[in-house]
Amino acid sequence: MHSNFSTAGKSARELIPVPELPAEFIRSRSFATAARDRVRSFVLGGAICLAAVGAGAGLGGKIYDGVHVWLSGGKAAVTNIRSLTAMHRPKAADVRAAIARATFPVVFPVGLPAGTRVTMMGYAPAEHPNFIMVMYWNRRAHVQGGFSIFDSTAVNTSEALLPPGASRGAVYTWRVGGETVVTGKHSMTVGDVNAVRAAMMETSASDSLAATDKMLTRITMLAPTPVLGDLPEPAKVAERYASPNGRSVLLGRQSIASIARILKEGKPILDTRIVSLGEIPNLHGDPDYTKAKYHWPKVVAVPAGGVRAIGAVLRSIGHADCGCEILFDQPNGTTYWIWTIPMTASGTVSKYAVDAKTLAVTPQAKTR
Amino acid sequence: MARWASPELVSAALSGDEGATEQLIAAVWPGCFRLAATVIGDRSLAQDAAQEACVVVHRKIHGLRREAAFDAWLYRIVMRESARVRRRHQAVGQATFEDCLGIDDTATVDVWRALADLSPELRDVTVLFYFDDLKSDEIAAALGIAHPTVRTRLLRAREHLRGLLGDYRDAPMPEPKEMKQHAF
Repeated sequence: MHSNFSTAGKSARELIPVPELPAEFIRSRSFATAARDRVRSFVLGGAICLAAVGAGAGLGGKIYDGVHVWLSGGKAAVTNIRSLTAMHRPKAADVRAAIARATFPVVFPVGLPAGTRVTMMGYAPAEHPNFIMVMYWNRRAHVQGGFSIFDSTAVNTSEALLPPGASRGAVYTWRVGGETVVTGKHSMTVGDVNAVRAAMMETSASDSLAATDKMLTRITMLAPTPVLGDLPEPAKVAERYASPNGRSVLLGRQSIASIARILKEGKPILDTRIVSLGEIPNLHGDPDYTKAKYHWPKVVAVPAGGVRAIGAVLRSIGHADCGCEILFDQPNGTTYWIWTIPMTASGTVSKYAVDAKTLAVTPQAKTR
Repeated sequence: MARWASPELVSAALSGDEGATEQLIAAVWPGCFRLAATVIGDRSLAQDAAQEACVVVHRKIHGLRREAAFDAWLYRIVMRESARVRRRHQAVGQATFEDCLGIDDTATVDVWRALADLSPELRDVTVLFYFDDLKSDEIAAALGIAHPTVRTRLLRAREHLRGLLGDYRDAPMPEPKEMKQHAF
């Protein structure tokens, strides 16, 4: 045996032949699991612990198939959550669609540090939510967490009714009008939480919605973006070019790689940001989201004509894989606009106009 | 703690640069594979673990806050994925390291035999301490175990390895400085 085990070990390890990096496998596995991971991160990274129990088990059933929350001694537990709709990087239209069906007038958190962005939103139940959860991110201000907003009629304070085994998280909580706001104690600093609480007391539902709009993206983000993290460089660039009509779509490299197949099938590209979880089972007192039934609503993000236009642009530049992300927009019925956005900040953004009927591609300005 | 990649590359990946992320994965791949191979003792399973670790890096690097946290984060991921692969293939509990024995140099063979003779728990701490120069608190973080547990396992591993070194008493294993500080 070598007298120096450490040195011998290091040398021996350096001699192990390394197989080739399976780059394509890693990339595709990463993208394939992203959608489910986004939902899991959203739920697990939420402001409070969610615990699912059997429907109506000893709950008094204040709201049929809704969400019930227990608040007691600075702790919260949510029960009776059987379904959940979650969306990644919601847009203004998504938020409005959720609050239009809510059982209470929703006042969103306001007074968050400048530069804070909404990364995800969820609500339950889908038809008439009495629970809305919004996740925020601000690297500079150390905001990385969410606020849960409940219809106050869903809130219980009696410990006796709390189902055994329900997980409870340490939270800050307060009431604003007909809603109860809950946030985890580790989501942000106490100062920021107090600022949000004070600002919410002074605002109205419409003003809070207007303030929230500024924290939302205008793009349907189908490119991978982190749940808790800054937007990647191509997404930041895309936001500068996105039209205010909210119809812009950012496609990631995985979507672009699928264009040839989608073209053959003559299908549109669907909006995969939104996922609904139903029949969430309970495992040892906690909800097992991995065993829930996942459903991706068939919402069209890029119509079949738009896919043909993107295909025409890719053909015109001579690459099936442009090594870029693509921003798509349809300003009117006759033209599509397509931008190719490089993966690095130093690359050149190219814009193309595509005739909707002839698919003729006309290069427009190039910008850095 | 050893550096997996240059701080500049890690920072670029953290900022969301997709190209930098792929470069970073290419840079850390050999280290991930070799670490996994050393603690699992099977090339094929080590490749599975290293692949999964790189998938996690690809997916979650943008959520990492500080460049300085990358090295510890990656150690944690590789060790967790290695443990997961090992659990999934219980039969490999008795690692043979046969695949790793590509070199018939005596010292190398002895290293693999010594590691194969350790239980997976003792092997993990041994590899991280002796091959990667991690301190015991860093090992605790990488393995998600308590600091005293690391020290206990290191002590047991050393005793076990000393037994293997019985014929070499005139050339004992060096006492790691940190362990001396902890009065082992």
